[in-house]
Amino acid sequence: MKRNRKILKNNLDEMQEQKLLHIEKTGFWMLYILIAFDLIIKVMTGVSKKDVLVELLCFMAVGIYTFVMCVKNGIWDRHIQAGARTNIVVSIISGLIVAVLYLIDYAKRSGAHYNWKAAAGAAGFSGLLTTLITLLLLCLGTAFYQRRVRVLEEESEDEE
Amino acid sequence: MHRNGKRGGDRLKIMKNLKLKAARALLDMSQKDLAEAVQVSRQTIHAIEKGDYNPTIKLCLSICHVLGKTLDELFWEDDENEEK
Repeated sequence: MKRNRKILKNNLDEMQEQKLLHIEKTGFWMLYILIAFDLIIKVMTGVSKKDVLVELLCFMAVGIYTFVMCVKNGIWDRHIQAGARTNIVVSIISGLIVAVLYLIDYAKRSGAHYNWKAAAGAAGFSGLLTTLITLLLLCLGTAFYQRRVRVLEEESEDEE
Repeated sequence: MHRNGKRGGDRLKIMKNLKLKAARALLDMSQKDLAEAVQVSRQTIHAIEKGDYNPTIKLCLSICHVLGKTLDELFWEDDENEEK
C-alpha cells in the first residue's frame, strides 16, 4: 500500500499540472482528429469495414464518453452556444462534408464512366441524410444538456 | 485566481508581481528557497513573479505564510506597484 502511494505520488506542482493537462488536451485532440482522418482515408481507399471496426468503435467510445461527461457536468462547448441555430449549422456542415467525400469516392470508383447527374444525386441524398441524422442527434443532445443544466442550477440554488 | 497565464480565462496578461519579488528579497530568499518552502518548482515561482502564471489561492496563501505577508500585500493588483 505504502509502495503504491509512492508510485502514484504526484511529482508535479500546480503550474506543471496545468501545463501537463494542456499538453494532454492538445495530444487528445490531435489523436482524435488524426483517427478521424485515418478512418475517412481508409474507407475511401477501399479498406473493408470489418478492418476499421475496432478503430471506429474506439473512436465512437471516446466521443460518447466525452459527450456524456460534458453533459453530466453541464458543459456544451467552450465557444459555441447550444441551440437550434448551432444544430442546423453543424448538421449542414457535416452533410456537406459527407456529400463532398461521396463525390470524391464516386469519381475514384467510376473512373472514365463518370456520371455527373448520378453522382450529384447520390451525394445530395447522402448529404441530406447525414444532415438529418446529425440534426436529430444534436437536438437530442441539446435537450439532454439543457435538462441537465436546469437540474444543476436547481441543485446550486438548494445548496445556498 | 486560477488562470493559466498567457492562454487561460479572459486572456489578459497577468501583471508582473514585483511585490512578491521585493518581499522575497527582503527576507534574503532566492526563488529556489521560496519554491522549496512552499513545495513547488523554482520555475513556478519565476513564472508567478514574471506574470506568466496565476497561482491558485492555496499557493498564494502558502507564499504569504512563508513571507509573512497578507494576500492583499502580495497579490492585490494596482497600477502603482506593478507594471506590464
